[in-house]
Amino acid sequence: MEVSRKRKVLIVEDDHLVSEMIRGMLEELGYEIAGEAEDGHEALGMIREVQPEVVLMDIKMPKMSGIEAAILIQKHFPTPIVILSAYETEDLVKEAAEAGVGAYVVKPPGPAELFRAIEIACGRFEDMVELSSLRRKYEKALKTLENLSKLLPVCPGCGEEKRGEDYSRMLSMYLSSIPVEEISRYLCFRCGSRKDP
Amino acid sequence: MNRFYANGRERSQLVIENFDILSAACIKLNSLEDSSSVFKHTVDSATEFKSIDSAGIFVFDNISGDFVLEYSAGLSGCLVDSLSRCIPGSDLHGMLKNDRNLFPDPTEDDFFIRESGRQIFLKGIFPLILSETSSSVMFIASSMPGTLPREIQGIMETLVSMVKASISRIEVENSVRRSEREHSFLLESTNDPVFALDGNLEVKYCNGAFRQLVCSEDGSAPFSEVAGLELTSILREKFDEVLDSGSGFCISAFEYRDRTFNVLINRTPDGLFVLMNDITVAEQTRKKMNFRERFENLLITISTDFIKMRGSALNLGINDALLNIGVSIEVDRAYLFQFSDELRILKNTHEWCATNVQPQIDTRQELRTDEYPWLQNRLNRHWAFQIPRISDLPSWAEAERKLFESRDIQSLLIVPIVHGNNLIAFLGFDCVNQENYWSEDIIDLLRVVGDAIGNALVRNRMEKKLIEMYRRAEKEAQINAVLLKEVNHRVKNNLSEIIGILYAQRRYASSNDDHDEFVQSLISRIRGLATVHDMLSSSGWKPLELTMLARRIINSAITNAPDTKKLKASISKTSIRVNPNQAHALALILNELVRNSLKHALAVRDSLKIKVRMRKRRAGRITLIYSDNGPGYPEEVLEHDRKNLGLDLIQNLTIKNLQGDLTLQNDGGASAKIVFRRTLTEDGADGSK
Repeated sequence: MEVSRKRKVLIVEDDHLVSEMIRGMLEELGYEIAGEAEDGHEALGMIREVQPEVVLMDIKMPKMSGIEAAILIQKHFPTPIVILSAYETEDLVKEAAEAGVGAYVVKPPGPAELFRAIEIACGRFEDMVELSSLRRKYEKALKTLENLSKLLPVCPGCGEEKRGEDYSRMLSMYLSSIPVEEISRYLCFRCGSRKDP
Repeated sequence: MNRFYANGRERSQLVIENFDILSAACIKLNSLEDSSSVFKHTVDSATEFKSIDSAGIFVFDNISGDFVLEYSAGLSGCLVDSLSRCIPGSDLHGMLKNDRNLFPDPTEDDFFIRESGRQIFLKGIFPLILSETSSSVMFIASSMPGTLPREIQGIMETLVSMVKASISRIEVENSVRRSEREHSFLLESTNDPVFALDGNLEVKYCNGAFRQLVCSEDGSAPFSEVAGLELTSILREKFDEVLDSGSGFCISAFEYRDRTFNVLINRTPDGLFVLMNDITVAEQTRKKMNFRERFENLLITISTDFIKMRGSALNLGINDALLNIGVSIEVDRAYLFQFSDELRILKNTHEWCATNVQPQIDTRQELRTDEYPWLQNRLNRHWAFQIPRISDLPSWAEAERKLFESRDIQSLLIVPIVHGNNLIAFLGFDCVNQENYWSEDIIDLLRVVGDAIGNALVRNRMEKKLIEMYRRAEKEAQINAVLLKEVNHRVKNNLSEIIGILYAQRRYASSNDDHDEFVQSLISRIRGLATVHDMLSSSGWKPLELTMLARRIINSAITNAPDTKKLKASISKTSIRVNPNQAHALALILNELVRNSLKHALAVRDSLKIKVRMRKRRAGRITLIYSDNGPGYPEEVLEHDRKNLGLDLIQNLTIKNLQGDLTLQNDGGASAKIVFRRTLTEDGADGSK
């Protein structure tokens, strides 16, 4: 079992021997060790620096716990996170999920288990990124539609025509906010049928 | 036929003479008080009349049917003997049975009786008393034959009438006297005072009970003088009421000289008849019964309430019960003492005091029972006892007497509360304003209350103990659950670390390495882990003493040394404790340092001295210096040019796990100085704060 593409993994663990275990397993699995941090605080600094593709992190650590670090990582440097802990209470799992953790593995993991966890966390993270992008596009389209509906020349309810200076001003303002090429594409049959370069 | 008198003059003279005798006889008869005297006087008087020599009275014997001669006059002794009994069937018996006055006409042949040639002629027979039970008949006789003159017959009939009247009078008088005697006997024999008053309210009669009540021998004087002012003031109004009212009687109750009377005043033709029915005992019994009924109801309520009372409600219930009992039995203070510490200490836990009576509960805490042996002796025997007068306490109850007197107690009642066979408390009742005596009934009832309180107290104590035990068990279960989680966590971490050691050893291994040494070093490192895990699990994952930790780890590590080498370890004593994570890391570091000493120093020497010194420094920092007397570290190690797994572990465990600093140097051998900040909690909180 070996990864097709070498992902860069940041290990965050305060116990040196456990770090040794994780490192050994990751190397066996073919991952690249981006770095090792001793606690959540150090991890935040290293993420900016080494830009890992996945973070493998303990929960109980001095200075900053894994859950706190996960929240800050997802806020500032969104990255797939796998929690590796000897604790497995429901509360901790729930807290981890709410903090944006992609997978939760109980120590000591088998190599296959660790592999699955890392890949699932990465997959989920990619899905989340895609979802976020789609949501942003949807929100933008919704806003445009809302603005356009205000510019309809006839009221769809009573059929009254919109005229006067206010309507003309609103129309001008909207049209001025859109590039000419885009307006032409919608308003001119000739320009609209022309393909984008 | 013989005639006594021939002419009218003689006859008149005869009447006058005999009438005088009759008058005298009648006067005499009127004064006689018994029938015997009347009969005797009658026969005597009859013989005084002219033409009458003898007379007698027969009394009928109901048993034999004979007439018996009871009285006689003018008869000789022989005649009296021969006439003493007149049997049925004789002529005389037939005549005596007659119920009318008879004046037979005797002839010479028709004599009454003959004696020594002397003839006695029967002149008249007069029934005096004729009834079913008694019958008396008088006869008169003369030695002269012939009929009695009519005047004498008339006088005799008058005399007989007088006799009958006298007998009737005497019978009536006897009856009245007997009746008076009976009434008097009845009135005197009654214990209730009785008296009669006339219209002027003067005492006409009073019995002994009344005289005794008013302490007066004077039975005939104005009522106020006989009875005194107090009784007069009570009854005077009632007398007037009866005298003035149409009903003529009145019944009323009142108290006089500690006694209760139910007086009946009845108007009589002469004045008032008053019966003072002494109902003191009945009233006391009634009050006693009422009290007992109320008290029993109270006790039932208290006992029932105690069944369902818990905690603070029980305290309120006991206080309420003391109040109700205290009021009912009219004491000034009611309280509950409970024993503790195997009957050695007494504590006043509940108290009720009447108005204006000083509470004592605050000064009656933690009393030692051995200071009151008399009291305790009785309580130990489960005796309920009372002290009607504190001064009567025996000399060996001096301590108790002083205690009671200091609290103004005059009388005291103590009721022990026993559960099973164990004395657990007692109820006490004080009288401070007067002496008191409690009946056995009340004491028995108070024992019932004591039992109810005892049951409630024991039940409450048991419930408290059960709750305490339950909480303790719950806490232990929680601790065990936490410990179990901790064990699980530590085991998983240890397993992870073992895997980490394996990976690290593999990373540092080279193809030239000895397989046995590889395995031995692995075993040594895992044993180090096992030793510290054992110490931590034994202590329940609490902070460990550093000296103890170092001693165990070093002793465990040097067991692998060859027997031919001399080893000596010196570990400084300190009270420093470190948290489980730090203890874990330090154990692994010390294990590696000892392994290093054994590997390198013992390779060139036969003996080795290992020293471990630990010191507290400022700001919670700890310095641990490990040193041996071996050849020291090679220069490339000191300059970080060469690395091996042991040194790598020492360095990384110090930096990562302890967040401390490591300094390696040679100082008469290899020396490693580790400085770290002590935290007693695993999340890094400073234990020194």
